[in-house]
Amino acid sequence: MKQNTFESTEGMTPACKEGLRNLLLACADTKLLLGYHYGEWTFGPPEIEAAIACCSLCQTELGHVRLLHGLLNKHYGDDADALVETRKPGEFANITFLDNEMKSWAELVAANYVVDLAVTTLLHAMKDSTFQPLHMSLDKMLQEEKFHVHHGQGWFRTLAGKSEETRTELSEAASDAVRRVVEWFGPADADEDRALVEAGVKSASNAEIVGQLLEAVGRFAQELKVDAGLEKKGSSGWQVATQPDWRQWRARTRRVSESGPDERILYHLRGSKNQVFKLST
Amino acid sequence: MKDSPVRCPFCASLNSQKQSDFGTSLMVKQYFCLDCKSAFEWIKWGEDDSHLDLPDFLQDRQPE
Repeated sequence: MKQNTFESTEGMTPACKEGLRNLLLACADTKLLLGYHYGEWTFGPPEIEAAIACCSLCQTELGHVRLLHGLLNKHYGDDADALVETRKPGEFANITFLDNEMKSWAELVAANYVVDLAVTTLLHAMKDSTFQPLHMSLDKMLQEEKFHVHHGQGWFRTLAGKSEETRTELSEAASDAVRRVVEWFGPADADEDRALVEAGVKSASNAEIVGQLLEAVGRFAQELKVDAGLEKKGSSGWQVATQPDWRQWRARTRRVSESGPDERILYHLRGSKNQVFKLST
Repeated sequence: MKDSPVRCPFCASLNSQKQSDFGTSLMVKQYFCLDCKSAFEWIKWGEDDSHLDLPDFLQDRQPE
């Protein structure tokens, strides 16, 4: 049976409307922080081609942020500048792996492959969304993201095969990234998630989407002998050894704690030092 | 990685090698010509992306 489509949030149940806002903001926040880290790694990667790639990856992510903020502005009245500049760290809903500076290239590669792929997997499950404004935006976004995944996988494979040291560093970074991605997707039975699937805003539940993601990451890591902190548990598929404490999980920030991005990262991201030169007030 | 060889814009050789999926702008990849030793960029949009090594669901194909 063909589902009703939505040109706006009108006609959505309150849980669906709230869930969609939380999801758009969580994707935008993660892309904002991904953009920051890619931008930072325009200097410092082991190859100059990777430096140029990071610069391009950053541009893509920040472009996607503008698009998602545009949807939030049009359909929820959010002010795009305020979303970046006035929120407290504890209000951000990004994947927590991005909260702090990346200490090594292995961490950036884990962010590129695992974290970036996590958001892409979620967006892919919304490409036929009944929420038309999002549906119309996703083809190009996913086309661009395919190259992000390809790039992340390429470097993941390189670090896995280079030496024992690089494989160990990659394993540590990948395990941490996987654990934090699972936290971001949330518990299997969240009310908002059910409402989004029922309305056709998403084609699959977060549990199904994270299962799809962990299957891809688990198989790829196993093939390369990288320990990504995942085990295959029979018909349940690939899973993390320890689940987050879901009783502490907050739907608005998709975290089990009150943490947020490092203040210094937000300071740089917002251009706070150069506030006086801003063109708009 | 199974990227097809692309023709070098300087010497027309097909003996080129991809260096990176990203170039100085979003729409290009970086290549290097192994004959004339020139770096060049190649527009990536619109090409068949089935050669990309991606998870099955992103290729919109069924798992094996």
